[in-house]
Amino acid sequence: MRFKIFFSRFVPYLLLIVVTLPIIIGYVWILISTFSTRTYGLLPVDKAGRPGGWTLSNWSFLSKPEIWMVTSNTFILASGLTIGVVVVSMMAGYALSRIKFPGRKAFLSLTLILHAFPTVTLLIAIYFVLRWISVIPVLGRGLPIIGGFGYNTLGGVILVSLALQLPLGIWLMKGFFDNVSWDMERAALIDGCSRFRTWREVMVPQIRPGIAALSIFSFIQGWGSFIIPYSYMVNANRATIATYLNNLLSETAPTNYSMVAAVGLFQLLPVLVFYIFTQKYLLSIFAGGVKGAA
Amino acid sequence: MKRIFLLLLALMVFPALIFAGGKQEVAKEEGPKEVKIVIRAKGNPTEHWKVDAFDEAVKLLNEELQAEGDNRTVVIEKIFDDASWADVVRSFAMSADAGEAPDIILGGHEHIAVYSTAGYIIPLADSVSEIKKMYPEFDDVIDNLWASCMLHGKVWGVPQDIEARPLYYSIPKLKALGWSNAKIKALPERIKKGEFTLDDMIATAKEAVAKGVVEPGHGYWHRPKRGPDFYQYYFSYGGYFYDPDENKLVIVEDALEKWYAFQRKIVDEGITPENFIGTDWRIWHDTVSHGKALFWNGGSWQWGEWAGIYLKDQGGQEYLFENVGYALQPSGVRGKSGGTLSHPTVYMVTTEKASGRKGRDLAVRLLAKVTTKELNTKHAVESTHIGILKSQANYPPYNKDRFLSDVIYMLDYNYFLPNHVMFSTWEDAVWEGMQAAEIGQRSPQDSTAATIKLLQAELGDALIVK
Repeated sequence: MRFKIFFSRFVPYLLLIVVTLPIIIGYVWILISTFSTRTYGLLPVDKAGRPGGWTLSNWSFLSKPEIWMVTSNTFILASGLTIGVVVVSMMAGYALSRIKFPGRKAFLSLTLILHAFPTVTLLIAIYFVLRWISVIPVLGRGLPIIGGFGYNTLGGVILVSLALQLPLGIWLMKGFFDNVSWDMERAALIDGCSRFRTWREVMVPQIRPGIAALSIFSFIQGWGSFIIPYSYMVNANRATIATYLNNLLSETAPTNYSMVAAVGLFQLLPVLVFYIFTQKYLLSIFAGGVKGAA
Repeated sequence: MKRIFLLLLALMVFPALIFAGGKQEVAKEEGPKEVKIVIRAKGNPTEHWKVDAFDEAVKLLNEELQAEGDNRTVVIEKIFDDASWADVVRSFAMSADAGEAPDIILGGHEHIAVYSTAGYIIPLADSVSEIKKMYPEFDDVIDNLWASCMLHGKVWGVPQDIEARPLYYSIPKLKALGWSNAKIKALPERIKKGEFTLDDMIATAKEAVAKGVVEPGHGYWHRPKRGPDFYQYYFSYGGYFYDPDENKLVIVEDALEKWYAFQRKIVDEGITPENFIGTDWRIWHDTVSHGKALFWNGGSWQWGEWAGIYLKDQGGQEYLFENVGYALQPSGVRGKSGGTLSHPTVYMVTTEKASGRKGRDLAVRLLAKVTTKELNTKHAVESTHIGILKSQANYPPYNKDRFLSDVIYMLDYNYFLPNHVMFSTWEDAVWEGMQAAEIGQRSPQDSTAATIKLLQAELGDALIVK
């Protein structure tokens, strides 16, 4: 009996520990490596290979203004993407879930097809669109903070990332709205609510877990974004943290992997903290909408 | 609500319909008081002077403008990274098409053909004599370097640096093989005279492997990844790239086959490892700089990387001078002198349309300010690139550098890549054939036939087969 309790309680944990150990060791290596001249396995060593070699020099990038500029850019990109994806997906998801209109099914199918396209195949086509947007006064290149929505602007990068992220967001939101009871919506409409007010005051509060999950997911996507800023920003190595990190990997000169690890950890930290506090919302993406809903 | 939405939509769409496709707005005719010049260059960390030299140059330029009573002040923005050439060209082309290109772009001289044909860069002068008269600094540039900046009779760029691609050899390994100090010292001269050829190099390396002086596969290491260095073998066997009279690319069949046979032979003889192409640069640098190979081909700029990075703790250049020798690339034909491929990087000035800014005159003038012995020597010494100015030969900070002084004679035996718009197609085809020959996928003869067939199909009339 005791053995059975032990088996059911501890064996799953043991299995999980064994399975996750490589990932944990990876994180531990990153942490040690950022404070070491070199590492031999998980052991910090100096240039001669002797144990020791602890250093803070790998974090010297924090004293350079570029890192704070790219961090700020990355934050703006991630926030802009999150706001855009959530707002548009909430509205589109509601319309697709609740309103019958011509071309609804075709729209849903096309959205799914767009999601299936790898970003890299669309890069050239999107470049021409951004160039076209660039020549629009104000919107192209004349906006504060994000620069505009054209080529070589942060807004352009947000716009492209948003377009590529939307299919997932719309389908997720549609799924959440599908799970909200019709009764509540009908009651609001019978009481004289407009469709927009019903959406805003009745429906949206019902799918809060979904909104939270989509926000987190979009923010993480934006925070780690690489290929789009790398392609559409002229000074790509100063665009986002991911492109800054890429610039540390020289084509011919030796790479200081300890510094790469430090920048990587710097990029990872906000995501880790964010994830620890919000993972229950993130998991609700897979769980569905209102409990007990029809 | 619907009305507000429609109004917002109209506000967004209306300007788009009116202004879409309109011309890129450039600076006003009056000319701004502050003129921004963006400079983009690629290089490894030891080559940072490619952009950092402009900090000093812009100060000099602004002082001159102020003295002349010109109300313009130049401010610069520098973009420097170590992306691959392919990424740099892609990124530059996209930015130029969008009117967002830097004002000054540093590239290989062979980029002139593509950039000028696409309308991204401006010709700086109609002839070499004209550019020399424009600013005294340009008159100081070594005369034969201007040839690499020419296309259709015009000058499109200003040389920034140049290099040689020597044959390096491990002095202790040659000694272990029984070579005397005098024999080792005489090697560069013998290569220069064509007395020590590629066949002799293979035989020596094979002997070193057989006697256990070096590990198997460590007799000779070429560049591990794609690059123009390989064309030196083609040149060594009598090949060349371009017919200037016809303005056509050239492939010399016999030289191509001998080159491919060389690539296979070094593997068959056990002096280069099997499947060597693609070896990580870090492994390559670490191996050759620590003298674990007998012979290897590299660039003169790599001397600085080895001294400053890989051998920093062993004494840098001191260690290198004791242990590593350098000579021209040996000829494949006995009696024919060795040579080296030089690949000058050049500054080019973009068009107003490509950069979206005016002030081309100031960009050219800024290039003159950066083409001085003081600034260019900083780059030459730190990155071990050969100087581009006549005055550097007598400039102490330059000529006291032993390595640079030693290799400068190689420029008398150098040749350049052609400035031809289809050269990248030529390169793609010969590289594919070379890989197939070295890894044994095809015999050198079959690879040569396949390469020529591919070149003819891709280049058509733009190719001459000799």
